[in-house]
Amino acid sequence: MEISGDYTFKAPVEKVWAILMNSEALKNSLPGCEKFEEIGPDSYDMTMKVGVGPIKGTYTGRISMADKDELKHYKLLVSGQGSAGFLNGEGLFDLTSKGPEETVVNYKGRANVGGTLAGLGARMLAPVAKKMGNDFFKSMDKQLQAETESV
Amino acid sequence: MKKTVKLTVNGTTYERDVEPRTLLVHFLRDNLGLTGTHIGCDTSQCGACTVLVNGQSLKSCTAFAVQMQGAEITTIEGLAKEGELHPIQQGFWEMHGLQCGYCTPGMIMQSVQLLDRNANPSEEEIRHGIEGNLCRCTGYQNIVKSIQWAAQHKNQGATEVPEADAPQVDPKPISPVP
Amino acid sequence: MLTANPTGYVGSRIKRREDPRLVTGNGNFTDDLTPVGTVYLHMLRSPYAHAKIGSINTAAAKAMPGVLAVFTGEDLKKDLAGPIPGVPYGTVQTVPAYYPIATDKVRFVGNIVAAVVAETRGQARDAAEAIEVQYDVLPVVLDMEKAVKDGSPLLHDEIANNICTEIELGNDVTEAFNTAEVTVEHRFVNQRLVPNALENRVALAEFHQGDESVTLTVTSQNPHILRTLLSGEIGIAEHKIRVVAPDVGGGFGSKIATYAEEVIACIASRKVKKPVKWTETRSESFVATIHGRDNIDYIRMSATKDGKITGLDITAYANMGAYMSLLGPTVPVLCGVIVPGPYAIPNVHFKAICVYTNTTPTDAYRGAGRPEATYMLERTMNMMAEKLGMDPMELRRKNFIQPDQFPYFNIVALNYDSGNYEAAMDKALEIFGYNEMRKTQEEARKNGKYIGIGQSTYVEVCGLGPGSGMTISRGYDCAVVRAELTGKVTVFTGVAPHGQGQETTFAQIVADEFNVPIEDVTIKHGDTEMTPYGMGTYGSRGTAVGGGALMLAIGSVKDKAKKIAAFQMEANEEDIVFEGGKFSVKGASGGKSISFQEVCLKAYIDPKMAPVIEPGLEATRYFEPGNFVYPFGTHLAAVEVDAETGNVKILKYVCVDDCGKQLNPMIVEGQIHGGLTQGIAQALYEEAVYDDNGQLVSGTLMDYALPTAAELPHYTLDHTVTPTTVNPLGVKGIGEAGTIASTPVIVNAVVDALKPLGVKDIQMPLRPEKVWKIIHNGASANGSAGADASVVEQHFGEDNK
Repeated sequence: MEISGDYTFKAPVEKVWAILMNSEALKNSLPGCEKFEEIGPDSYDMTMKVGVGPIKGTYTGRISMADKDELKHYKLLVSGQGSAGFLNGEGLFDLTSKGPEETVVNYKGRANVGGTLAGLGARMLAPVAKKMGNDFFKSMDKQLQAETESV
Repeated sequence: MKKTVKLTVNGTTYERDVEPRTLLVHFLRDNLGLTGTHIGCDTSQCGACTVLVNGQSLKSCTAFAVQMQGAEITTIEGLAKEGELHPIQQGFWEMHGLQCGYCTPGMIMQSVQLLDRNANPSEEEIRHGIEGNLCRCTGYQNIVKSIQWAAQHKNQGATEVPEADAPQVDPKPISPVP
Repeated sequence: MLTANPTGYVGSRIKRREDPRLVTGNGNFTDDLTPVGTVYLHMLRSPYAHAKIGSINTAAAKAMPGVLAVFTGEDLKKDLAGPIPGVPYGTVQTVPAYYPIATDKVRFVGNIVAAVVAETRGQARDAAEAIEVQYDVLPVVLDMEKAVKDGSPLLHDEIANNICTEIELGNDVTEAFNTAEVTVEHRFVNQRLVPNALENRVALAEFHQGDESVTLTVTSQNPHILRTLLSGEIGIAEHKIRVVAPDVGGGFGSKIATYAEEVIACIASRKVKKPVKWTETRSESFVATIHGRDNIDYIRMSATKDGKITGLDITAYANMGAYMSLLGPTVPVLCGVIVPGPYAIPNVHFKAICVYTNTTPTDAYRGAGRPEATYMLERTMNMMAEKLGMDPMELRRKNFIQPDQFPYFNIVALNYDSGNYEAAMDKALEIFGYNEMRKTQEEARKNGKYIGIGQSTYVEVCGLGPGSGMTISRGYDCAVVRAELTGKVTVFTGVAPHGQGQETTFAQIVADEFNVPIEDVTIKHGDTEMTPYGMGTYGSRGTAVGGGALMLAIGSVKDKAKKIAAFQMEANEEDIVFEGGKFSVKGASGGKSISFQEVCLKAYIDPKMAPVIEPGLEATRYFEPGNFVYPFGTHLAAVEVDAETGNVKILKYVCVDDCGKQLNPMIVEGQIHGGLTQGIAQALYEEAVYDDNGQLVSGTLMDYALPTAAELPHYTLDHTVTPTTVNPLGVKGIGEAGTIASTPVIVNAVVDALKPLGVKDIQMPLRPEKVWKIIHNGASANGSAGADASVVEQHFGEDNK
């Protein structure tokens, strides 16, 4: 399954980059994240609770960042397995500065799912993934704003 | 945390403690031992579990037992009265409206509502009216004929659609099955 | 042979005796049974299509509330006597071990990796979720044509190129194609289907500590065969296993095979010392119960310019799925043997390549091989007719085997018993109004409407089977006819009906033969402890074979009854006649007679007979036919394709089928209706779809389109009667005919409708979206016809140029 989209932050690219790279912000932005442990540089073990339509399940897996090109590009890799099946995917994130107070993040990803999740939840998956993507950025944005305000 | 639900099924009033997640169909089959209501899927497509709730047909896998507080439910077991088949049951028998018989209880209960709402349905209306109930054996042709048979005979003043009998108290609760 | 029937049951539309219990909710399906103390079994299944099992941690699951046992593949192996069997055929390399719970690798999504027994269903399910399995994911093989190529990932290390077996039948067709005046060739995809009997599978195992025996109540089409196979799987001797198939909610072939869950339930019951029940959910069934069809067929046909078919050459790739299911390789055999259909074709060659892929195993699904054969043949007939500029019906007429040619050897394997194909075809053409419909079509085309006419003339092979014609076993069935002391009759049959109505048709036969009211007859089935060894119900064999055994047993009971009557009337046994329910002495006037009921009574109690005649009045007989039976017919349909939506509407469907003598026309019609519907649904709606990773994405009834009442037409049925001498009843079997004939009718009709657009083929199922694209983007949007031409050419090489 392919997912793509973009999100516009009303912030300079440096700040956007910083928040996206912040592990605490990442943890807070992963939907249903219950456990989040650093196991190496940019690599974390995690547990997520995700519902896709009628299929609700807990997934244990790993999230990591790679191919970082400061202020421009990075890759996010996710893999998880649970009772309802497995999901793994990777997303490519490209940041473009549109001015001092505007940064657009384009994302393009691929996800594979298996088990009940694929059989029963496949039809619901695309909208759920889209929503999760959106929620992810909204959460990042919120944290970015909170940070800015506190400063 | 179990919850108490009080409801009337086929004229008998039951009061039972159930887990909130118990579906009506499981309640009927496992707690009340009414195994005539069948389960054919887990996505509410097949209609094998159709029952009447307050006179309306309902796929009993789409509701929780605890939602049935005070409801009057008729299952396939409650349709025939005093050994006399309901006209729709009779119609299915007369016109070979069933083969393996697995979808039949749900199909019959859905047909009860269909004829309640439209005493003289056309073939197209019948086909549309049972669209939510799947049968893998008959190709539906004889089911349509069965319902037509019932429509004819019901209109001739045969047995009326049963109303719930005077409520009785659950005579001997069956021990709940997990 | 049936005697004249004064009671008139046979041949009449007798209401089914099964129905009163089924319309009142008093059926007795396996999941309705819950013995005291029943505990529940739940399967943990692989979410991956192909992976090595790294490690399994069951500790957390075992500690969960209500959990009684957890099994991994290795745990189960200790209690296992043998893997799940498959019947090999052809050049089988080796049969891969199919363990009920995977041990080394998982090979399809749904492969069981662990099983949990707990006190409640919920507890079993919760505990299964707590099992941690580590998988090392392996590359997936789904495409059969790629799977057989060197370097493709292997499902089973010991099986080269993923080839399960190759099967070759027929004669050399090279000359026929070298000298052919006209040839057509094509590649057809017969898509994968999910049987979807409305009742999912259920297994209830009760191990009895006292005598170390086990009773398995189960959704089975063949309890005796299951018992034998189960014995080899669980290591309990056959006489200590009882298999009971109570009311079974449809099978369509999916309840023939022996399944992992049945084995696990038995072993689990022995371990936890309680009844263990496993109830499949629908979405589980989609991956865990066998699938059907899934063939890729390369076919070429040669003919003379004036339309005489001279040769037929086929290579069929048959998808076995991940393991060899019981009859996996038998299905393509059933395709190959009937592939020349009702036509006299002198040269026929059939080759099947059976391939393992990372998908649910396939097995017999209604028709099993014969729909595949009929589909490719009847589609190709229309392509040939188009190329020759002939009407499709005329091409068929020109090539039919003629009534005086029977018994007819079809070159590949079979001796057709009897037939009159043209008679059925003429009757169908007349009822359908073929010529008028052609005019309607012409008019409609002028108005920009897409109306098409489809046709299929078919012969099928069923009534499995002749003793010598089967691959691994003799083919027979049995019946016990017991005339009771009070004159009632109890019959125990070895067939296992699950919707086919033999409780009624067999009772009709018995009532007529003994001249008793049908109410005095009971037909029992589905319990290995009650009936002698029977093969069960599949392959349209119940009445053709089981009914034959019934007739033999009735004959034996009659023979003994005559002996008793002779003793009672002090006459010679040879002089006794049985007529109108009474035994009398031939030629003797004065009306001395004794009724059937009196004979029954005397048989059990008359002390005077003690020294002369053994007590009782009962017979057990087996019937093994000398041949298969070959029902046939012609199906015609008119469809309209809506250009706006791509939806196909069936305007008219006419079929004339010949199943020999009809015991109960009402039941025959019901079987045809159901068969037609499954065949039409293959043409229009149904398809099991896997994504690139081997995930079944059409894995629920939300996504897999079973037909509903609203989509289907009203069928017009008629018949001809060409009896057979293969069995004592003269019947031919009708369970599968509708499915076998109907799929090509619909596709032929849709292709005919879209002919003005240059459409030559559309790959099934003809879903509106696909048809709409073809209408709006032109025939080039058609995946199978356009793109595959070069592939087909490559396949058959230069030999037919």
